[in-house]
Amino acid sequence: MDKSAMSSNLHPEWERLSSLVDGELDAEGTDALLTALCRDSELHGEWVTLHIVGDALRSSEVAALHAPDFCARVSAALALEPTVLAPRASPVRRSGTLRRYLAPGVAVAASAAVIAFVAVPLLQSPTAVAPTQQVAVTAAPTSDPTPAEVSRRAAATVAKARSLDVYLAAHRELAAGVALPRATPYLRTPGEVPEGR
Amino acid sequence: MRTVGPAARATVALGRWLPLLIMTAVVAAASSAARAQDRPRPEAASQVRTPLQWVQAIQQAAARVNYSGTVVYQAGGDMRSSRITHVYDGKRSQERIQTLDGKPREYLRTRTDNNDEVHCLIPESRRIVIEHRAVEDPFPGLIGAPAADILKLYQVEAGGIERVAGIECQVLTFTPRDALRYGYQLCVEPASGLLLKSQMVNDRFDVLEQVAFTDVRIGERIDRARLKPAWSTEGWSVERSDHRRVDLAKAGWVVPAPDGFRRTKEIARRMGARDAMQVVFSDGLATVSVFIEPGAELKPLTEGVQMMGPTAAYSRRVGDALVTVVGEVPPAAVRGLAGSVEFNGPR
Amino acid sequence: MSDRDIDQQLVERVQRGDKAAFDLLVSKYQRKIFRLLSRLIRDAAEVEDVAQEAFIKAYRALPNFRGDSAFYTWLYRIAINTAKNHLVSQGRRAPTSTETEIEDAETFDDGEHLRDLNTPEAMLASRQVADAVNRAVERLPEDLRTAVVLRELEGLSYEEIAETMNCPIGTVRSRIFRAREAIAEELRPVLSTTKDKRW
Repeated sequence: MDKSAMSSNLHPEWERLSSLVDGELDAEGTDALLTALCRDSELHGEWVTLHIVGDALRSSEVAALHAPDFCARVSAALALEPTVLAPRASPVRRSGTLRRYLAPGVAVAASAAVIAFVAVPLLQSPTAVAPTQQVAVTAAPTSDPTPAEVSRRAAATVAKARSLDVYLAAHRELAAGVALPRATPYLRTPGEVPEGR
Repeated sequence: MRTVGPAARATVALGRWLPLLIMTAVVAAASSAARAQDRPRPEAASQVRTPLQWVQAIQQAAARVNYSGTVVYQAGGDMRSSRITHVYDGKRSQERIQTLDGKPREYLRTRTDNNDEVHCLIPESRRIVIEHRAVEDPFPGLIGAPAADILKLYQVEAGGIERVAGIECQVLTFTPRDALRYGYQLCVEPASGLLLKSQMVNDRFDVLEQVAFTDVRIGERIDRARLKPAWSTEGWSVERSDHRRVDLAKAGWVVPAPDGFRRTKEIARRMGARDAMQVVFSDGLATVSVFIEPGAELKPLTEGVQMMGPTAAYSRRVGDALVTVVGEVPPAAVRGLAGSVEFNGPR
Repeated sequence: MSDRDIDQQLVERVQRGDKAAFDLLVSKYQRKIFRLLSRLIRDAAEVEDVAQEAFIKAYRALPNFRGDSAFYTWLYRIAINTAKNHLVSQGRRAPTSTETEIEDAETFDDGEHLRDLNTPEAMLASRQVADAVNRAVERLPEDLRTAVVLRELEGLSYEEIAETMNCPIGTVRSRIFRAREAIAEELRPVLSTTKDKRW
């Protein structure tokens, strides 16, 4: 009993994780904790603990099958896989919080720049599909705008993004890139049509 | 109460790819579950190079080493794959790139000491567009810039070992010495010097962009038939790219190179439906373009610097022209370059 | 929000390129997938190999997962198909239990239904876990025991438990957490391979 009380003092995060696992943590807290989970191995250990306990309470057979090295093993195999990315439909806003964009292979880091996802429906024009679908607006001060403001900016910047694509294509066509396939520019924009005379 | 047998572990590590290297022994299966870790391994340590030598090795390998494989480019929400084949016969370097998603395209490139030409194949309109790259490149024969110059701009350090496409690679970090450029983490195959993975990172180590082989064969003899395009181009129209060299200074434009960057191109061209002049700067790793459109009716993008994945863009009016700067550099650098462009009237 | 929403959030993170989020799904469902596969495959090492294959297949197929069903349901299907293909490729057939039987087995809790555990080792392991859990739960103070049982076995929400036990939600959260930690303490020696290793 005392030990348990101590645990929660030493690891206040763990109690929040316990709520999260039950789906009883608020949206923002969940988002933040899931992010932390992906990076903190101690927290990950607690995630495992909570699920083993749940499994054990419901079925000792299931819990007994726990293989300590399995997760690391799958993780290693996963590292060799090309990162899957699902095409996004229209993004769903959850209770006013913004989705953070995750760079490939890296958990999201808190960022001062606001990233606004531009949903194609915002444009109300079926032909306006920009290959560059997300546009971030970096304001000079680092305060986060309200969701309404972000919407407004997003709508404005999508219209601009259409013309930006032209510059992007022209830039990438001639960009030297790093020495990995010198043709990195081509990799950046396959399918762009170079202009000929 | 369960144990995981060593046999089970070994099946993981071999993965799907069995690269046939003739220059290095494949470091197989022995490692236990690991993501990228900073663990120096004896095999890679035998390739002891100074940072300068590493950069030179990378530059050489891109032109000199035969390789073929699949490359995946990722940035923002985008992921694109291509198949690449590269052959060097001592005099001439030939390359074929096929897009694996999006519109079908092939880029066939031939490079010699005197010439550098790219044929872009567009099957849906049966066109070939030929572009001659400048032989008068400030860095002839080199990829990017001289290695020594690159080291002045980036602090280069050898890190640990990372597995890419089933091959153990040396990690090299390029830390920018100023705020005009981003950092890079490169993974290099030690024996050949071939770059297998490149990540562009900001100062918080967010990965902004990544290019990596998912499978590759290095150093083998490659059948030249593999350099032939997938389609017969008989009857296709052949066009030359419309880029014409221009002298912007003569036209009255002052476009100073950002610190550490050199001008690699200065052309007039068509861009979509418009005419524009484009100046391209490179520091060997990063590239920035400045577009000048006299008399353009478009409004500048007034909301500050726009980010599209790894690329920043900024516009402003100079006289009656629209100046737009686009590049894979930090937003402040793009804004600064745009701010430094001046028009002094034609001479 | 529910447990299923957490899965959905993790899936969306993976779909945006976060591989680490997939690791969380693996560690969550590892044991259940093992049990499922051990209905079809006898050898423990082979179960692990096929389980890994199933998880990787699920990862690759994740762009196609739209959230119409629960993630585990979808994963379950992939695991079954992976196992069947594996057996076919080995020239073996799946044991005669039909899929419905397997699904029934999935819902059985616990010790009475040990008929499908065919190795003495597996049966012993299961017995030891059951003993440890029972010990731990019996030792819990009544309020902790009630809270965790209502949550884990009855599936009540924190709000429902608070009403049932006539206490604030914060107390419910705290009791459930402390109960879990106490049970974990008893379980650790039984499930860890070494004393120092945490699971």
